[in-house]
Amino acid sequence: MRKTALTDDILMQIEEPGRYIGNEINSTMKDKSQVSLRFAFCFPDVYEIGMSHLGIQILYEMFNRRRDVWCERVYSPWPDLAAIMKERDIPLFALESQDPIRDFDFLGITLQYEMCYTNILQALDLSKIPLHSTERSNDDPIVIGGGPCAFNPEPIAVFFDMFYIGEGENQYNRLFDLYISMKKSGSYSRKAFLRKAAEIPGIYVPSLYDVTYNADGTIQKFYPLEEGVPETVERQVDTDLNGSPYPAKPVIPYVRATQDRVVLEVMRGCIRGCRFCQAGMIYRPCRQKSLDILKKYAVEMLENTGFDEISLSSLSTSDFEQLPELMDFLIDECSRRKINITLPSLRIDSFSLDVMSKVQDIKRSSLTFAAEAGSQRMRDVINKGLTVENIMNGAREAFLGGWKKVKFYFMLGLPTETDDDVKAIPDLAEQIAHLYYDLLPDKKTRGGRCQINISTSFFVPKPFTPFQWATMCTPEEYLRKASVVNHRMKEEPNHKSLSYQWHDAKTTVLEGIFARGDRKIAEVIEYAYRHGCCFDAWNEYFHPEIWDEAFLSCGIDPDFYTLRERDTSEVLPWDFIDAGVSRKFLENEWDRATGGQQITPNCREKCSGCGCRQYRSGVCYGY
Amino acid sequence: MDIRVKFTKFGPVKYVGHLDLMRYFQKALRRSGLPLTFTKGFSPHPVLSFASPLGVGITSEGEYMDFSIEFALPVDEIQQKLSSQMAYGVEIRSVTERHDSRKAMAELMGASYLVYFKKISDDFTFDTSAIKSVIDSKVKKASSLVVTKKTKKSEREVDLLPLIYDIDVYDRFPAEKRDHYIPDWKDNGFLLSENDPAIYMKVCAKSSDNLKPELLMNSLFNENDTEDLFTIGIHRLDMFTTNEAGKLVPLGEKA
Repeated sequence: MRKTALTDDILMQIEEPGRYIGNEINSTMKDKSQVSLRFAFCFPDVYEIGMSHLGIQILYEMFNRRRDVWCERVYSPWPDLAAIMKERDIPLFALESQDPIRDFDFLGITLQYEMCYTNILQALDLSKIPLHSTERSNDDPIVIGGGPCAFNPEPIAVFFDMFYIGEGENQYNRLFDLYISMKKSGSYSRKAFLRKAAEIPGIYVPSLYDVTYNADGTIQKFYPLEEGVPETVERQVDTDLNGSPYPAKPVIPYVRATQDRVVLEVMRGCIRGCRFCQAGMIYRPCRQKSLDILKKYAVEMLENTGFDEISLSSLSTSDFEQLPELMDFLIDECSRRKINITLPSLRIDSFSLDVMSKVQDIKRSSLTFAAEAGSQRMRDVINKGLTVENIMNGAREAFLGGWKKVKFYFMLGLPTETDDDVKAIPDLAEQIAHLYYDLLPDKKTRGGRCQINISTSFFVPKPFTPFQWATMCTPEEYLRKASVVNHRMKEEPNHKSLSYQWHDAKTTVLEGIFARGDRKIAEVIEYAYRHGCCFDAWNEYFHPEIWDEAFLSCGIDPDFYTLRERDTSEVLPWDFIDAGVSRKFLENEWDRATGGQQITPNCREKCSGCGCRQYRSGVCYGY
Repeated sequence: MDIRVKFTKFGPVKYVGHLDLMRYFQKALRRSGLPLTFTKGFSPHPVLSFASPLGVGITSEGEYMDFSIEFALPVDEIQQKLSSQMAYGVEIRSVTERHDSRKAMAELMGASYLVYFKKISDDFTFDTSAIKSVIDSKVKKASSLVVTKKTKKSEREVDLLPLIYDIDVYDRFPAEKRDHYIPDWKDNGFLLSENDPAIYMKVCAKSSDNLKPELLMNSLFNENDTEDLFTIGIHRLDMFTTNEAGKLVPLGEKA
């Protein structure tokens, strides 16, 4: 018999009860009396989103390979259930055992985007774990964070006992061994464990550091409180991706997850060096997996899951050098097995169009150009190695091949952007539409209009990118830029073939504050959570008025974090992390962007000396 | 080879909705390695159909699913391959070869259920004789049982009496069924101990006139008067079609 933590009457009155019952195929069940360490892995968002995340699946596989560890999963209860749990005092539980999180040794929280920060507090609150690390007892689980947002953990540092900086494959075993041995020898106390863990490379224990501030609010000094606690925390890099664990038997949800398919990670990191892109910097060096390994995993995962679709994952799949061979294999294997292949956004060229025409229904599918900026000047500033000729040639071939739908992704608010750059966005879309009607002038044979969708997000500067010093805009300025695009688009001759969508400006500003915030921000997040904010990434639950109130009440000026161009001499909250890319490289890239709009070649063309050669793997060593 | 599978649904999977259950079986069929017959078209999927969707929260020991494979295999082998892919709560009860070309959904005529109670207020007493007398007066000795059926578009009056093939009060829910299919009954406050009554019913399940046990129970025990007193639990026992003689037989036997 399998129990559920929630009773029948609750499961019958909430949305999607299948999110909370566990019991999924391929989930790992163990006897809790036979393991030494229980780890609850949390993705602080709704089940369907969290279950789609590859990183947790990799670590779930790796942790559960250990006989002495049982790793389980937990996601944010949707507001309907969260309210019931609060009202009836039901503790947050893990899916596999349905046991309360508070019974676990570790609560690991993955930090994939800043807008989930209030959900972290919800998870702690519902688990009955004190929100602040300093208030926790020896019986509380160790709360550890990881993922891209851990590269500036300061705004949420007080809520965590430790952070893991970098790729989990490297040091988790060492951390678990330390915990288990201290427990077994009786030397365990929260304090003693945290102190020892701080010596493991990549582990950052915020309570062992302190910060002082200058009169203007910038950081004066960030320093370890004890001798032996490292001044810098080194990012961990997996230098043997082929040999590392991969989830060959991923858990299959009942409820349809966002990523309802086999996900094959072909490569980690990116050779491109786009200056706005944090992932392109913090996952360096670019490391490709071997074709044989990928073939093996693809077949195993399809057979172990029964998914009817497979997708390739990486930051830039077109740069995976063995893509033609892999696609030949997959097309053959998948047509035999009646499996669909979905392609991530590939660079549009004759190869990708040929592949897409083989695996997609051309009439229904749309092409995506991640152009990021409308003008060539702007694209050079961000080091997006894409010319208008590349785009036009890709579009020409696509239209001749039968495609009619094109999606364009752009960012607004990039450094040095002028209104001319903004107007270049609809102008580029117009050029593409014009090209379509030029190429296919005959109304009868072309089969309808083309549809060019323009989508813009507002740029958010992220730590460890060359733009980490850049200023952001006010929400009003963002919306003004969006309306410039909108007005210009409506004036274009082919405006009937164009459409435009833009993101919310208020969430962008908040994301920007969290991304580059310091320890002072924690108070604001806690205030907002206590006053009802949660699921901020979801429009229907985002309450900007509560956030405004939170900043006001905590006496914190949000503009300090967003509307200020930082000087390169300023101590940044994340400076204590060694992310691999050197400060010198980032500063140089910032100069090249804002000074002469100079392009920096990609890692395969020429090494730009970013500092990640130290890891002795990947593209720096020719593979 | 056309195949009919009889399976159960209980435990946590009773909260899995019909569409999700279909996706669950599509994946399970693919994992089983059986030589499945696929639909044609751009995104082929296994040919698969279910006799009747089961509401979320209802347990069952008589669900049916039809699918086909490209060449004949022993039914035991098929059952073993499917069973190896099931989650807790979905047990493959039988696998039979289907000779009737009609799908289970088209053949479906009736379904049988056990309905049990969950006390909400202490004012409700589970008196078997009182329940019996309601059933006697409203069903067994009545000439009609008219209810208003609301659909999205309209309201219409329906006489439920011709849709009830059989109904009876049980002194108690069979203990072996309870322990297997509703093992968490105590935690969930369902009244399934020695002296608690349950209702057995066999009702019409044709797609045009599917009588849901909830609707019948609401019409017998006026919903508005009793909603604060008790709620019900439902367990589906089996589904039926008619044989050549016009008699109801389980879908699994007819195949």
